[in-house]
Amino acid sequence: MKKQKWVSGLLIGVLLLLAACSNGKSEQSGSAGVSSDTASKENVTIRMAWWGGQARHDMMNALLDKFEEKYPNIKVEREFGTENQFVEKINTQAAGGNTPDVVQTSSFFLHDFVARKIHMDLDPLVASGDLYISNFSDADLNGGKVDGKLYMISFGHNITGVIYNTAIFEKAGVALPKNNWTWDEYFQTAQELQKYLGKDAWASEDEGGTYRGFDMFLMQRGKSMFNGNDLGFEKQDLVDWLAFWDKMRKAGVVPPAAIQAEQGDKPQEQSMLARGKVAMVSKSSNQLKIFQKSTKDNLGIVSYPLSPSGDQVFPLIIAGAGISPNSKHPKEAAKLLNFIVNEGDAATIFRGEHGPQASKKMQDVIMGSLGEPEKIEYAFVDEMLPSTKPYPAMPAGSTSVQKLVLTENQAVAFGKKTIEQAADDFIAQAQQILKR
Amino acid sequence: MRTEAARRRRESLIPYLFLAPWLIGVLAFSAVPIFTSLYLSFTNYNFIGTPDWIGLRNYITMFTDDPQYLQSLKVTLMYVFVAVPLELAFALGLALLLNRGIGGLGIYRSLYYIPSLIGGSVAIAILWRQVFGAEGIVNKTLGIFGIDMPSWIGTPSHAVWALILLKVWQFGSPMIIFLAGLKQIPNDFYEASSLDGAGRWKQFTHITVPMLTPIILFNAIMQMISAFQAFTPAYVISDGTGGPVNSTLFYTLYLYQNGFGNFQMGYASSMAWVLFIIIGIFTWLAFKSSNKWVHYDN
Repeated sequence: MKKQKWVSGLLIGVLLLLAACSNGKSEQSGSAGVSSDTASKENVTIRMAWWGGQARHDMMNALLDKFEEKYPNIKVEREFGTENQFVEKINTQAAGGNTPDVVQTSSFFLHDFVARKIHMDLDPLVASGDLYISNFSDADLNGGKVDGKLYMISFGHNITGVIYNTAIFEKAGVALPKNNWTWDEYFQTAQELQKYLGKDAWASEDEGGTYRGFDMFLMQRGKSMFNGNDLGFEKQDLVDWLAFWDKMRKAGVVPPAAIQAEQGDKPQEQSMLARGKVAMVSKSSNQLKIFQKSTKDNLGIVSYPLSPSGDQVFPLIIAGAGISPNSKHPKEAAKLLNFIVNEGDAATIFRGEHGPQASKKMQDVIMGSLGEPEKIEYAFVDEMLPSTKPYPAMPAGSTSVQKLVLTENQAVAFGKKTIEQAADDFIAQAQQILKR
Repeated sequence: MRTEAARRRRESLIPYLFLAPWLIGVLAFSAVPIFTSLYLSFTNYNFIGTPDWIGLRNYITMFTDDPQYLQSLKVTLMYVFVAVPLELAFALGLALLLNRGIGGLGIYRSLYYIPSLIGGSVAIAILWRQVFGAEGIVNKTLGIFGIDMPSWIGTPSHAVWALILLKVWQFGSPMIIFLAGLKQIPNDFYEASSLDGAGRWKQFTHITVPMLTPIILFNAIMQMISAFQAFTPAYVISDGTGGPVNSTLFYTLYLYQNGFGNFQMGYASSMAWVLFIIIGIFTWLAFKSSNKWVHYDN
């Protein structure tokens, strides 16, 4: 009997300890009831997670300070880091049932986040009037939907284009590129630039390893990298893609393999574009203003090269945020999103960080105070918007498959494989990853 | 009698109460996760929903259908069996130098130990990236002597050597242990042998090395285990890709990519268990072989 008592005493001790450990969390997410307008007057804490560089963190913090000032009963806890580790962190939190109430997302992550129940269906919050989106552009609305339901509220949209250094073009006496140029024109321009650039600088980065580029190349052929849980293209498409960049390398208009490999994912200020080492690089349009901060030369942006016989289509990349289905305070979370996308105070702080906003009204709020790079960016996006479509869905395992594009392009660049071999290896490995 | 027995039983339980904080820690944070991962390694768990039992499929895929896995194994084995002997040789060499009774020993010891403390950090890995870059200080220095090298970390055949050098550079902790070992070798042995006409080299091969073998074994095993688990330098230097062309795809890095990039937690768990077994085998081999070369008696 006594022994049992001791054991149960011990167990109770353990339970108390465990309870003490978990207490903090349950208090944090609060026990206040969901919904109902009276609840919104209670003091509530919600968590928001986003990614970005230091400049964006400063902006987001200022934005959330302003929000807390306007809605004193809502406190926003902030979790932020770089884009590289963001998805890993959020997915891990989600697996542990600890997703932040509001999570930044983008066209690249949206499908995965919906599948992992990190985002909830926002239609009921729209219907109840908590989220106001009737002034949103169709492109932003559709880009936020998965299977016809709205999951992401757009903070802004952007389109991948070729960002270029106008000073190099001028010194080289090469005409500035025009939107809807073709792959041939792109190659010719690169060769002309290279005559001026000589040996230690290049017309473009070697982008054969960028899956976003490859995906756009495929879209021009009416295909896409993924089709459900399978690859959405044939071997020949990949061969053509790798062959184009091989041609660029052999023409000497992109950096040698070792230099390109070292470049990796360096931040904008250390990029070859900012250091005048390359004249062109393809990036999201909203990055133009970020690159411009790191170089004295004026930058411009032009559409990604097209194949003349193919579809004139570009994926629209939307950055926004969704609300977690586990959120105890979806109404307050909706209030925060509403504030970010519909109030002038927020627009003047955030200044179209993710590209032109979904609401034309908010664009007008900041239009007058935009700097030159933003004006160039907005003009580019507005012109290209009609030929965009929502970003295609990506299956689980897509991250590793995307990395394979880089690895196989490097294998060709370093002369370790022929293009045929690289394409075969890619397809075999990708299929193996996707069905694992 | 009854109360006496009960008292004794109660007393025998008291230690467990005091052990409870530790026991709970081990159970909650080690034992449960370890066995969960063993279970997950036989499933296709991907963070969504419940794991499905798929038997040995993960283990079979690994060795029959995943060239990247085999590549990661190759890179890691090469790293371990080149970096660890080099590191130990370097550590022993410096320990011998420091053991010759030079002044300011404490300062040198501390200085050489610093890399061991900071070598595994992200900051050092970032520094290494700069140092071994195309325009890094290593290539600049070699350039002075007319040696033209490509970017170390950007070239597949060189990249892993930058990582090996980083490991060798952390020679401090085995060096300290070697120094302690050297101090334990009785001076009589050297005196006696020099009377018999043994030179420096003879003394080194016939006295120092045999006397040090237990320390060498210890250092070799510790460094080997840590080398198998190396992650940070490869992750930082290759931007998490294991590139160029998978030349720095360490085992743990590929495991991480599968677990936290693809969320194929089942596959990642089975990789972890295979690594555990591999480390176990090599450690066992080291102990097993020690009968042949380690001298324990004086």
